[in-house]
Amino acid sequence: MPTFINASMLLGTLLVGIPIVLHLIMRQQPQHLIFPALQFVQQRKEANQRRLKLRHLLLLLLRCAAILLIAVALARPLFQLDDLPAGNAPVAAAVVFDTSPRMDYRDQNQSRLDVAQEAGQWLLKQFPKESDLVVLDSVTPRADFDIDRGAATLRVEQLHVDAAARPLLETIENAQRVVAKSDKAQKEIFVFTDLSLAAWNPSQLKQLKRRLEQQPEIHLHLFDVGVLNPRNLTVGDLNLSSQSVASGGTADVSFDVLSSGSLEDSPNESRFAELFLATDGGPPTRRAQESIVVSPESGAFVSLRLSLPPEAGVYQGYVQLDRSDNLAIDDVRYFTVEAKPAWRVLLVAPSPPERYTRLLNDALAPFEYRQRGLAQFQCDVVSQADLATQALRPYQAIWLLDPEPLSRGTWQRLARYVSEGGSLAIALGRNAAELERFNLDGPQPLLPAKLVGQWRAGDRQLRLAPANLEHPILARFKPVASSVPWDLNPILKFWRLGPLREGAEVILAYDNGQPALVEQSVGRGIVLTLTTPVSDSLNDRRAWNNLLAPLREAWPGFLLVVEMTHYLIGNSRTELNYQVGDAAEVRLDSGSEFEQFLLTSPSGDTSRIAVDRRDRSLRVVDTHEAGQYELRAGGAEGTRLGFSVNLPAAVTQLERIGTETLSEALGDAMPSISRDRDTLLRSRQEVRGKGAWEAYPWLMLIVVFVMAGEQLVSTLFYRRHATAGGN
Amino acid sequence: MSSANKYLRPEVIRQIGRLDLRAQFIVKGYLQGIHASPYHGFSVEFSEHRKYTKGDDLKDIDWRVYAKTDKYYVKKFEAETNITGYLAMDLSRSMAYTYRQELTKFEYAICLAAAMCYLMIHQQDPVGLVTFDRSIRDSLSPKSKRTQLGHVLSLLSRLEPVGETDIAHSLNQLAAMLRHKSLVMLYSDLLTEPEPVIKALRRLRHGGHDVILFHILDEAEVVFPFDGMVELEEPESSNRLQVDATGFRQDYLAALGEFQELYRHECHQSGVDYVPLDTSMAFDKALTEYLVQRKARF
Repeated sequence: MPTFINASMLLGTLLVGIPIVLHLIMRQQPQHLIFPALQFVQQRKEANQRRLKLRHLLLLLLRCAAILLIAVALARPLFQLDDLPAGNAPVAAAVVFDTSPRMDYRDQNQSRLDVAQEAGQWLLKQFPKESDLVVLDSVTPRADFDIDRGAATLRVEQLHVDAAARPLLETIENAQRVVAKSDKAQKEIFVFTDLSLAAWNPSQLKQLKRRLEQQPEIHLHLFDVGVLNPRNLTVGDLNLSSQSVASGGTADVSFDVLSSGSLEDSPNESRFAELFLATDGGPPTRRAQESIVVSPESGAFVSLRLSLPPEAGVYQGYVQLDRSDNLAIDDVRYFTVEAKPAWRVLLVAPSPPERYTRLLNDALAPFEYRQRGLAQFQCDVVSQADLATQALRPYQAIWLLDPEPLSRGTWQRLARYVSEGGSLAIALGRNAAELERFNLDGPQPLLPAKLVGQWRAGDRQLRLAPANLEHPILARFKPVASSVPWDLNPILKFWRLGPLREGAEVILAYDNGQPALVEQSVGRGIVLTLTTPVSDSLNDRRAWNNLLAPLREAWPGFLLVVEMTHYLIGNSRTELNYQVGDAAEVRLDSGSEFEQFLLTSPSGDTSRIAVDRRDRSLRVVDTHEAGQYELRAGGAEGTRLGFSVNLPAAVTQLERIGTETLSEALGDAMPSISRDRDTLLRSRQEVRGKGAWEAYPWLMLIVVFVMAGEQLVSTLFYRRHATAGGN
Repeated sequence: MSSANKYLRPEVIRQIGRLDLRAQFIVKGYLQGIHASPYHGFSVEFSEHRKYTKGDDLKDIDWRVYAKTDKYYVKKFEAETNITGYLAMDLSRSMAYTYRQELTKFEYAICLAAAMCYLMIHQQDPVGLVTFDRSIRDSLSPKSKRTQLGHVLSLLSRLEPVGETDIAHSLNQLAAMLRHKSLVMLYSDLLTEPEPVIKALRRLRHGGHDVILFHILDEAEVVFPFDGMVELEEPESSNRLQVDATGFRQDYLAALGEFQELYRHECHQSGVDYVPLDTSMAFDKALTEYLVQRKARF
């Protein structure tokens, strides 16, 4: 039995009724004529009628045959030649739907997923009974086939766009594993995709190619539901100047507005970028707005300043574009910031402490900020001599500036402060000249190594040279990594360290490779050791460096000490903004006594989360929705925490992968790509057709002969007589 | 075509109302035509010269020819022997048919008969007229006077083809009527059973009469120009038949051909001159046939 590529065309065979009806019913009304020579007509009538009927019948047959042949030819019959199953034999098929947020792109009032679902429902009906079918989306891995076609159909109906979508290529791999399990001879995978570069990352196609080559019996078909010229504006990943801000302070929220898709002939677009913030549990209100012009090539950069209310707490908000486009899901980004009272930092220095601490104090809490109450840090200054009696607990961090040797008791007190969760920064300077006193049991637990000696640059100047910027302290340098003017903070002297203690880690080194900043954990706290001081003023001719007394406009030193302090306080480790699928971790204040929190997801679902007792934190693993997550405990008067989850901006980039690129990457394993159902059926049949014979061209040839025959018969029938009569 | 020749065409003759003028135009056109034609030998109005033989009237010697040739030639002014001609007109209703020609078969026959009459009177041949349908209706006995032309033409112009016909019977009647050997010129479409007609013709021939059978059909009857489904009605019997004319033409023409061939063959066997004509044909064919016939008798 042949199979048909366009079976619907077989309906055309019904048209065969037209000539038959014309032949039977639509007889011509005869014209009445007087004709005396009727006797000649009578003589021949019988024979003529018989011949006439025969000819009419022959013409009718030829015309019917032409219509039938054309209809059958258009249905494109395939005759199976090899042992591949016939067209109605069951197959094993996986139908893969990309359900990433990109598929929410709307065109002609339909999302890409709507289009895919429609075509998917249709496709499921094309499979013969008893076929093994499995429907996969980008979220749920599958291990086996669906129970029956009904279950598969239901799965297609229930598909929805999911922010926590796995990469499409992983889903295809999953489909390959499932389909390979079937014992059916024909194995097929159909992928409904928008063919975006984000889904078909060229660098990962090699693996797909390898797998396709390993399983040549599995045929891959792509159904392109993407829009050929998509146009989308994306609010890029947010960059918060700080996620933890002093109450009443400000934070900068910056982001790129990216333009993706077809750039040709697109004009610049004018939009408003808006920042909304919710306070007092009320609805979000607009706090900032900026008019932007988005160029199709380079997008736009937006920086909005967020002013926080004077009350401490967790604040959640979002930025968005004033008008949404065809893909609304990436026109908004959520953020959470934490407002805290100014952090108390204790600056300890030899006498006179003010002289030592002036630079650092100004760096951490600039004078004007202090005056206006906007400073992030509240720095208290105390002399080394008074440290023994100073209460340390109220301080979130302690800076030890150019310390002179301390008493063993004082060292131990500091060590106890740190091991109980406190943070300490030590900036070694010329007062450590008696280095053996720093190598004693008292200070050594707080230092990462024994001091070996002073390193003097002589006529050479050193500079800080970070190997990488992955450490939270250096993260702020990352966006401008190539243009940080480290050489404007020259280093002349520093303390060389001996072999580092286990657990100690170099965060920052000089360009001669010697450690500059070392981190080590002591108990529950951390200690940062800077091997050069931050207290030498510009006028000091014996200054060891120019970190806080820079040449020209050198800012790296300032940023470094501020970030160090944030790190000590724990702000750097405060992560309140996550990407979809990340495990979120929320640290509780040490004073929090709640053991359980109620988690409310962006869609309003609630669940209970238990506090991890070891490090007093909450872990939320299920972050598949983008939006605001809220954690509450203790009712209205209790604690309210929260975090935000966003889609990575890269996920919704709509640039399409070119067929050539795909073909180049996949080579012989290049799957068929269809944009409509007929093409899909055709390519499916073509795969089968490699072992099949397609009758279309031959049928068309026969049609030509039949039509020529019809023409010939009717010409012989009518024209010749007409000509003969005319003579 | 010369101005006189054009009167040989039916569509031109149609425009001339008076039958005597029609006849005159046809004959004059014809005679003018044959002066320039291979039929030169049929000079009728003018005489011939032949060698003088004993017994010829001396008055008839052409002295001018003698002066030129030194031989005696006799001038033959007009016919020495006369043929008695009978024009036999079929009055059957089918003769009134035409499809798209301007002359019906009957009108065509009348024109031809009138021309023939004109020609014969001119030759001083006696001409008579017989009309028939089921039997003989009118008859004018043959005379060669000039006044006979007027009588014949006036009768011809009054004729109407309205009845059914029995050609064989009428011919038999005619055969019984004829006393002398005559030339019977029969004008008919012959749309009846051929056997009795052929028998009647044989009988006429048996009686020593010469017969010219002018078989006149309408152009449509010869060509069968119809297309598509047609219902054909025979005017005399009102019989009807539905046929697909397009597919039938070949058969019709074959049947007609057989019919004509039958007459041609039988007439040849019997010594009857069979002249098939249709209403689109010029009149000269019929006149020539007459003259050939006349010459053959002398």
